[in-house]
Amino acid sequence: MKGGAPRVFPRSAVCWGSVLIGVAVILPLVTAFGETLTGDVAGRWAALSTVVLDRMVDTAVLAAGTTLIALIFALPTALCLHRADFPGRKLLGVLYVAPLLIPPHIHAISWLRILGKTGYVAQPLRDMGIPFDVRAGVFDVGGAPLVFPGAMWMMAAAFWPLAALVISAGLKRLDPGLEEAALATAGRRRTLLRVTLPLLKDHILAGAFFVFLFAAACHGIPALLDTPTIMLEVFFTASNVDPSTALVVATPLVVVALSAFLLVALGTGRRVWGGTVSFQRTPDVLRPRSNTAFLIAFGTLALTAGWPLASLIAKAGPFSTYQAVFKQLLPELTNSFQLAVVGGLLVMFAGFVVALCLLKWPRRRAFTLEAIYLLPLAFPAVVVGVASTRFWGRLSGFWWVDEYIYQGMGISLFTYLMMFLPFSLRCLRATMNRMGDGVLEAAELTGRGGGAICSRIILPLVWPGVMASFLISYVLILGELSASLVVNSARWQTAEVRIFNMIHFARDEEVAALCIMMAGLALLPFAFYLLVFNKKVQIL
Amino acid sequence: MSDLALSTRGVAFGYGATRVLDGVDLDVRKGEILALLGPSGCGKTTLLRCLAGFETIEEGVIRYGDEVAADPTIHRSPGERPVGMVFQNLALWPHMTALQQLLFAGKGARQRRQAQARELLAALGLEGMERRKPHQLSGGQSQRLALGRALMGDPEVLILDEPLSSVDPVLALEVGELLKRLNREMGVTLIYVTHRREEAFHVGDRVAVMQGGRIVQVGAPREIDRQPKNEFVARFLGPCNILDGEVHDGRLVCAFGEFPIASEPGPVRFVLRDHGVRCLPPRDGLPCGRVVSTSYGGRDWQVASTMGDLTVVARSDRPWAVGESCSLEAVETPWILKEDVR
Repeated sequence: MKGGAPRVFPRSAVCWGSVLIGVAVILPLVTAFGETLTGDVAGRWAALSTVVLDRMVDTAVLAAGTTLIALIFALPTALCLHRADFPGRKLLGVLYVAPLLIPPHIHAISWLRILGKTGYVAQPLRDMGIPFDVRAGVFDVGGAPLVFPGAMWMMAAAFWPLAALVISAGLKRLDPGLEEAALATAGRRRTLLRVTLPLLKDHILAGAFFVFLFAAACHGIPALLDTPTIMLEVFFTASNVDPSTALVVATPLVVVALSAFLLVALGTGRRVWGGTVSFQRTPDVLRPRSNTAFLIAFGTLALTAGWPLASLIAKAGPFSTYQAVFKQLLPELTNSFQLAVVGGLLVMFAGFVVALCLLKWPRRRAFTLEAIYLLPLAFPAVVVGVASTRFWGRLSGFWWVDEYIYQGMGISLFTYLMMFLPFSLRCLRATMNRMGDGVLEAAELTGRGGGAICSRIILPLVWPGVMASFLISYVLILGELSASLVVNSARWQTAEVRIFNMIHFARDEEVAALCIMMAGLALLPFAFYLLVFNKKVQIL
Repeated sequence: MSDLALSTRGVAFGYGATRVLDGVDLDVRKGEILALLGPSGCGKTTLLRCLAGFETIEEGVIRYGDEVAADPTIHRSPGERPVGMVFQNLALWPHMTALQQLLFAGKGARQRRQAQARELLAALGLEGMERRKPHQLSGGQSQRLALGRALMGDPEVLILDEPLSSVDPVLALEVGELLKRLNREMGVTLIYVTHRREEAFHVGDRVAVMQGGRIVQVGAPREIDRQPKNEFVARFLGPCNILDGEVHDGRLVCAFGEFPIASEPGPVRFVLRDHGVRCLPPRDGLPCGRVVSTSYGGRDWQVASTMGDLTVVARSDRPWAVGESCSLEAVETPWILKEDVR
């Protein structure tokens, strides 16, 4: 027996539980990609034609542009919220995650109301004779446009809070003494450029990586704007050819995403979210009053969430539209709500079990183990959906698999678990890391069992994280579209899938009303939790 | 039955390739207070964590009384060992009141725990604080609550990991006295870790000095102070002069003159503490020096002076000007170092 990990907690049930969860999350992905290497391998790999490689380039350019715009939103906003003071700073510090809580395709629908052919901005321009099409690309290369600014803008508006969250976490962890020491010899501008930003570089990089990953894997916005991306290619292949070929088409993106994930996780990950988190109060000297900071933070939020939502509200019109849509789509709304609540609880519970298991591993090993559970982050939603369908499809016919999983809500729940466990786990790990050294060891010394320690010490200390983990999963499931299009059985069609279909045949007012209702369903519980309980969600 | 509360033999532990404990041999008698003294990074806290069961030892054996708590094949969990621990950062559970902390840490029926908790709160001067949470307690009150929590499980050995490192000297003295009282009244064996000599000497019945993952000397505070085993212990315990000399016919011949000494003939290295040398006005028959620095050290002045190639620290009852000539007189018998360890 070697020194290192104490063996007192977690108990074996928790360990086995986390192994099972790990298997449930990773196995479908492994088997699905394993399948692509068997059977008609040559035929499937022939699918990796030049079109796929072209789409990869398009996707990379799109994701890179999105990341750049998102950082332009995120970095100043995070700096304004943490290195300046203004009235309403705390409220804005909570609300800035709002764009992230609105599903990307709802972002796209709302931006189309503004920038689309008949939108508030495009219409006057067209009337003046200036051609404006938000779907159009620029910089033709070989007869095809390479850059799609409209899609970049919409994705950046949806994903910038991801980068802001990571950068904010970095700013909170920064030792204020380092900046104070710089302020003693240099001005604010020089301190920001020479001390604060260099110290934040790992967090900026990690934030950019997250935005890049989400943009590359995004399906909703490119689908609505007809932007050529690899994810659209994968979706079309899965729908029109066969799922195995779709997985082959997705392989280059998955390989790139996995490599980037490992590179970032091993390179900067431990510095960004490893170790004990100790937040120190930011001294007033680092937080001067600034009206400009207010304008930047408020303006960014208003531009990326307020304006698009307002345009949808204006489009939806009177309350009667909402009533009509509610009556018409009650089954889908109920399905969405049920899946979000049950799925949220499942993901929260699984995250808690895994976090508990990782709690007493030495930090380095725990971080490496955690990376395994975070791996599904590198797999786009459509790919996870296809992998899940293939996996459970093979088991169809066994006992209750058909009724409760393949044809029931089970397959959706398993898919959501695969997709959203990383968020729940990260949220809970960050909260558990804040418990402080010794608190658990002191409990272990009492000789109490794992159950008593869990219920009397751990749960009361981490319950804000547990709640936040549920809410994050709830919101993400509620807005999930790409995987739902693939996995949801006819009985469990969600409102998001319905929105996607309604765009093509329903009245704009109805679509707008449904979008607002879904955004409300996502935002209201979050706002209630954040504002009433005043507990900040600590994802990193 | 053993009269030892705790004994370790050859305990070894490391983090990866770094060896932190390298064969620790230590005996702690029942009912005594053993102060574990050593510089930062010498392995004190790691040893405590191994004793409490938070780390799994690689080699050696840890026994509580006659029972083996850890060896390379056995590892009793912290809850199964007869130990209580006060953590350096106290590690009080922030969501529990003082009374709840004690009740959770206690063993047995609730009624018994209630009675024991009330008794301890009274003994520690925390009556009326039952409903307060850690953030509502002062530093001293938190210290006492952590102590009470560690005592709730009726431990045979109480381990304290630098509990006074972040409190002011007055409070440190107060808590030190409280520890001695609890040790007397409850008979609990204490292992008290610190890197401060004064704390170790004030609290400890015996002091164990640790260096590089080993215990290098164990003894009563005066013994450790006056008869250090090697140069490291001598220097770690305070200002001293380490000098070379030669023993002839039962006499030590050195720069300070000749002293009767029981030692084998031949060259030796010896120690003279600063308070064992007096700095005096120039006087015939005494070695001369020139003052290089002087500082007030409490009851008298500490003077550093050069004596030929040597720099000697001494004590004086008056301040000296830098550059002033002086005489140096050894007023204590030098102690010959047994080991050549620096």
